[in-house]
Amino acid sequence: MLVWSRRGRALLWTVFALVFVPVVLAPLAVLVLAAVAGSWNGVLPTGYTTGHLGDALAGEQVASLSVSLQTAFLAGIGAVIVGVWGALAVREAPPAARRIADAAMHLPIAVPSVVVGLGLLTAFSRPPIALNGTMWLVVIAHFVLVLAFAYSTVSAALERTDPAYAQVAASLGASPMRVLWRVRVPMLMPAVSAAASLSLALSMGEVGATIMVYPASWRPLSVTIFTLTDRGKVFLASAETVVLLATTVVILVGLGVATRRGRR
Amino acid sequence: MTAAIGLRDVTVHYGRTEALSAFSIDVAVGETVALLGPSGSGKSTALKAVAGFLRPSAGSVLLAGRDVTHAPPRERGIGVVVQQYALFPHMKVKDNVAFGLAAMGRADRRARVAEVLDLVGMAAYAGRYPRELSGGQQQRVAIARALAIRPPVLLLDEPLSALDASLRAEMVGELQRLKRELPDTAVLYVTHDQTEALALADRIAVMRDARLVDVDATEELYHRPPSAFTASFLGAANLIPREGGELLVVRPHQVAVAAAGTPGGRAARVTGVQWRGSTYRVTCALDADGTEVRADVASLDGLPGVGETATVLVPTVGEGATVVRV
Repeated sequence: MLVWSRRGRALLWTVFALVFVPVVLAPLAVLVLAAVAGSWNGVLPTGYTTGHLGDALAGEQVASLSVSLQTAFLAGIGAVIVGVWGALAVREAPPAARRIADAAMHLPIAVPSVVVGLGLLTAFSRPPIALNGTMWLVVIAHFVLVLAFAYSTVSAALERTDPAYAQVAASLGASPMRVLWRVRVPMLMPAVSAAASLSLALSMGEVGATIMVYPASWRPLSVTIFTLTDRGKVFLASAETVVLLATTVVILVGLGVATRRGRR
Repeated sequence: MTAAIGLRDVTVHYGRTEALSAFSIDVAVGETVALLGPSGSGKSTALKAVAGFLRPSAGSVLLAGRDVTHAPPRERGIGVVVQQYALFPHMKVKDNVAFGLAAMGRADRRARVAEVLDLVGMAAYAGRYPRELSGGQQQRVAIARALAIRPPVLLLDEPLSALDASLRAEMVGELQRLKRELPDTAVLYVTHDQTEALALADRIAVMRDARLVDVDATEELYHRPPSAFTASFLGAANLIPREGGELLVVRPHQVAVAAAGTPGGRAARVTGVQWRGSTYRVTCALDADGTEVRADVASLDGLPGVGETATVLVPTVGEGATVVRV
């Protein structure tokens, strides 16, 4: 929508600022300040230190960040592959099967993450498949939670793609596999990249299901932040949050640049 | 001689809608047949049935006498150019054109790509991406890609509809030249534009509501249309009621408009005038029954203006008009 009058534009910007500043900007600013605060008794911190950030980048905390990254990559790659495959398969399915499969793929969005966590915990804590206490339960929980978003991103892009590309490719003698790998998947790359970014970002911040299934040996940073806050270590938790945020942003920007390079 | 393309009572359903109803046509080797009709007439559906992009619910599709009704597109060896060209956006022009030549050796492939790009005048653009080309250039590449596999049959689905008017006229000329250079290629050309059909087709099949209305040699169909629909769709003819439930078919350029009271004509009222550059199109309503008659005249000098009474002069059957039954 275009707003033509100067006053209208000024009003819109004011409303935007009134919403954006307290809801998004202020909490982030407070986090960053808390991460470097020595003590905080007034409106602003009374002393500054890099000690918390130093702690956040040492020993146990770095291990926790590494766990978060590994989980996010494993779950993200899995979700993107299954999401692309699911989207392609659902598109080709007969209408009735298509509706059911589409709803099933979207189901994890509707199910609360705590339910996913508890479900996995009860399902896999006894043989034949006992994964309780292993990292795999965390990875699977993240995979299930981000899959729906990866699927939905790719599936929306596929919906917009003219079927003529695949048809013309087939009429030029290409086998279904060649059509898939040379035409359909390359044309989906922007959506695949978006799905990967979304999966990574969601996984890095996941707490709800993770907290129910993580073993002591595999504690992602998001859970570490939660437990630190719980124990009243707000400054260290803030520093951890800044590290988590920075890492995620760097990865997402890197992924975006790589995709643009790939597309030239 | 066996027809290059044969459709035998092909019926296609989209869900419950019948998109094509018992449609039959033959296209001979080297012949160009245009499927002409308004949108929703089933012409694109017929083309998709030939290409194998959809499965007929009844009837059969033959290519050089071979039944391919249930064969997938890749086993048909047909060149297809679709409306929006569908050039693969992530491949350069030369890779698009080479896509159908995977079975060839590298050197042969390169030679064939150069040859077809040369044929459509796009040799200089081999290293470009589709998005770096204009609509007309993309169109040429799409044709080159389809022709690269030396298909005995070429299907063109509204190939010029995405181009602007002047480019369209240029491309019609280009397609005429290609046709001369490929005398053995059978072409099925789907269009809603009668000028393209008249310029390119040896025969025209007029379609309406999923059915074939008329099919005949282009000139025959234009000069002696067998039905009222074909007469009005092909050449925008006037249809003037006569006695005995017949309609007089008269093209706008055969009609003259004169001052009211001119002997030998029909009394009418001028309802509109459009300037078309080389001619004026004058629309009149006949006093007798209100029938609208369109006339193309070179000059408006001495003619009544809009809203005034006039005389419409229409040729008789012996003078170039024809007759169809309602």
